Parts: sequence; C-alpha cells; structure tokens
Amino acid sequence: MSSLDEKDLVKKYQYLPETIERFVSFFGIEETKKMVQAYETPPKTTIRCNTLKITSGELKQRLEEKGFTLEKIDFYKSGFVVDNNPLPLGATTEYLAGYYFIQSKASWLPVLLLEPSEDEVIIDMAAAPGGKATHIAAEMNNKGTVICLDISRERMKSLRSNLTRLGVINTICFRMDSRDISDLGIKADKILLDAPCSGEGLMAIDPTRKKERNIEDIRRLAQLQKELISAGLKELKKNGFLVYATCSTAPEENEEIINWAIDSFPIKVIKTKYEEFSPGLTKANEKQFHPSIKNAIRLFPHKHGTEGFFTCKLKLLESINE
Amino acid sequence: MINFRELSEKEEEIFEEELEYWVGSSHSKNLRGKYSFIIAEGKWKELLLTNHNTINMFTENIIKNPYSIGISFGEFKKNALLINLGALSILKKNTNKLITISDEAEQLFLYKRSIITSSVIEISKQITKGDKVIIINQKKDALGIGELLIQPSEIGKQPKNEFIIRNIIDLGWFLRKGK
Repeated sequence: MSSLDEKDLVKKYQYLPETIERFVSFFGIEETKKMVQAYETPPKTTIRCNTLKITSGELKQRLEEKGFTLEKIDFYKSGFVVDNNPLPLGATTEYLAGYYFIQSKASWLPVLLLEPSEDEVIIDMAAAPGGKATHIAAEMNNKGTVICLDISRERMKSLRSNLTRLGVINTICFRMDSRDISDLGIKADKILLDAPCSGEGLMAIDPTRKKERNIEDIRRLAQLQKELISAGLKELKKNGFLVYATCSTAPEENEEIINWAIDSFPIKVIKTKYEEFSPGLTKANEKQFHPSIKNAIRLFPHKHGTEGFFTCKLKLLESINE
Repeated sequence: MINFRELSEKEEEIFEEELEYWVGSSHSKNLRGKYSFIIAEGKWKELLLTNHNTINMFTENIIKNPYSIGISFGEFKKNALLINLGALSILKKNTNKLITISDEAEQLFLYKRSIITSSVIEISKQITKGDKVIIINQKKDALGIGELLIQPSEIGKQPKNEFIIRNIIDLGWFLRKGK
C-alpha cells in the first residue's frame, strides 16, 4: 500500500487493500476514487423491450400510464432507464406477458456488438438465465437458431421460463460445460461468451465482492476464461465473430485473456461504432498488450452509470482445425 | 434422458383436434406451416414449438441430446393435449375462445384466482359451458386459460360474486414457479 489516499479508500469503502492497490495501478488514484465512490450507489434500473412482442413506443406508453417514468438510452433504441416505480417492475402484467426484460444496460452491448442476423447459428456459451440469449433471439426476429449452453440445472430452469415468457422459439438448450462445446458437432456463425468472472465490476449491486474476491480468485477464473474462449473459437466458422464480455474491470480477466487469444489463434479485435465508451487498456501489470485491444470497450460506474464491464468483438480469420 | 422425436400418428390426431378447437381448421393449417413442432418425452411428454431452421439444425447437425428445444406449447396427458403458457400469444391471434375481464379481476386472476360474474366484460360468441378459453384483459393481453363453468346466457342471472370461470393456468406462474 503506497499512499495515504489508498489507505483512506480501503478504510472508507471497506475494500481489500490489494484490490484498491490494483485499481490504482490500472486506473490511477483519481479515477479509482471516483470509481469506488460510484460503486456506493446501485446503477439505475434499466429494461430492454422485447421487440418480439411489443414495440418500444407501446411499452413506454403502457408503463407510463401505470406511473413509471421511462427515459430513452442513447446507444440502444429498445432500452429504457426506469425511474419512479409505483409497483415492482418484476410483477407487472407487461412483465409477465414478456414485453420486457429487466437487465443492466451494459449487458446489451455484447449483443449489439454481435449484430445477430436472421439466418445465422449463434451460440451463447453462458446463456442462463437468458437476458442476452433472448436479446439475440429478438434481434434475429425468432429466425435462425440460438444454441444456449449452461451448466447449472437451476439456472436452466430460469432460462426456460424466460424463453417461454418472452416467446423465444428459435433455441436449442444444452445443460453442459461450455468447454465441451465441440461435442455439439456444429460450427457457429457467431458466439457470445459472457464469461464467468470475479464480478469485480458488481460492487454496487453486491458489496460483499469488495472483500470476498481476491487475486487468487481472479487468477483461477482467468484460467477458466482462457479455456472457454479457446473452446469457443475452435467452433467458429472462418470469418465468424466471437464477442467476449465480463462484468469485471480486472485486466487479468479481460485484456490479458484477449491478448493471450491473439497470441494463440488467428483472430483480430474489431473496432466498433460505440466510441462513447472507454477503450481497452493496452498495458497493465507491467505487460504490454496487442495495440488492437484498445478496440475493446470498457464501462465504468462513474463514467457510464453502469456496473464495471468489459466487452470486445473478435473475428476469426482462419478456421481452426484440431 | 429426454427423447426428442416427431409426433406419432395418434399424437398428430390429438394435436390437430386441439388446434381445430382453438383456431379452426384453416388457421390450424397456417400454424402448422409457419412453425415446427416436436415431442420431448421423458417423465412427461411435451409438445415443443420452434421454427423450421431450428428443427433442421437439430435433425441434421446436432449430435448431442439437448435439454430443450424452443418452448413448450402443451403437455400430453393420457389422450389429451393441455395447452400451456407458451401457446397463449400464438393462439390468441386467431381464436374465438376469448373472454375479456376487468382490470380489477386481472390482478386476482394472475394470483391464480378464478373469475366472478361481475368481472366478465365480454365473451366471444360460440363459447359454451365447459369450454376452455383464453382470458384476456381490456388491452388484449393474454393472461391465461380458464374454463367457463356456466352457459353464457346464464351470466346475467348469476349472483355477481359467483365464480363462473375456473383458473386453469395464468401468467403469474412465471413469478410463482418460473424463476
């Protein structure tokens, strides 16, 4: 621990000292102060309109008639910030009828980067409980096929319930370890890997993560993330895309994973149109990353009003045969 | 282990009868053309609804047994097909088995309650006692399925607080059991 400022942050906000130390080394002391301060307030509730069942205009009108206040979001026309909740947002008739999904706005970005098309086969490698899978299906207008993978029995039930509620019919779900994706025997046009992570960006939603996740957890998860991204890239068609995402700000789970993948596979990081967000880091932990990693997207609570989040779009330049 | 397979001749017959009940023969044909259906059989037997691409993907490419395909349209029990929540919004568009209920009754119905006489706003023609119907609110959202317990012509003669529609299944299931 190098400075009084860092010690103050540890004490004031109840973090592990090593976590603050890491934040400062990645983002600097001033950004860290703003970030941990912002983590004290949960992000505003956001909903995604399920365009398979209703238009965003109709949904806005219906919820506003019930006393909710809906505000549009710049980067996605079917998303809203919801204020002034006169009743629980998860218990309205509109919710039960599948007209919307309660979901953080950061979670929309990986699907928007994926740019699903109607005739594609898309694999969601960590699909339950279905926020992103139902979003992909809506972008595909219930055409093509979304292959949903998840290992948890309980979460698969939630996934199935959400698919039914939102009227998503173009799915095949498998309860399996996504590292065994080659067992499916198919090559995908696109893959979404919303990887299991430390959740280091979720402190505002779950403050226990300030102290319950340490660098050992991050290293263990980084190994799993490498195994998952490796398995996914091998099942992608040539010129296919894989979108990687985590709800963590840790470079060990993000840029380091992508840098490792660039060194290991014929891929490149695609520049996106979402320039309002922060770029990926090009160095951390005394390591220099591939310059294209700046094309990745980072979201921070103090800058974007979201959880801490990372996402990037990779293109496979040559198919990988094993 | 769940076995995914095509419908047998008998299941086809039951399915056709059920679709004809809900939407009539011409819409039934349209639905069969627009969507694909497949049986999932394990401890229970479900009729799953999906699209043509997904069925083709499953039959031609997939080499591992899935957990599920598409959404559940209904469940086969003995020699009947019991329609469930996944079928509601599709059937609603083409059925004349509709009963509209009041805003006050909507919330109670979504809590698994049955419907009393004074909550009924409108009943489609051709519905008779014992029919299964789709319950909708005044905004035309499908809320669930009920069974009409009396003849429609008797509705004005019943006490206002008498239950006349039995709740079979409603969207509140997603809160009670779907999470």
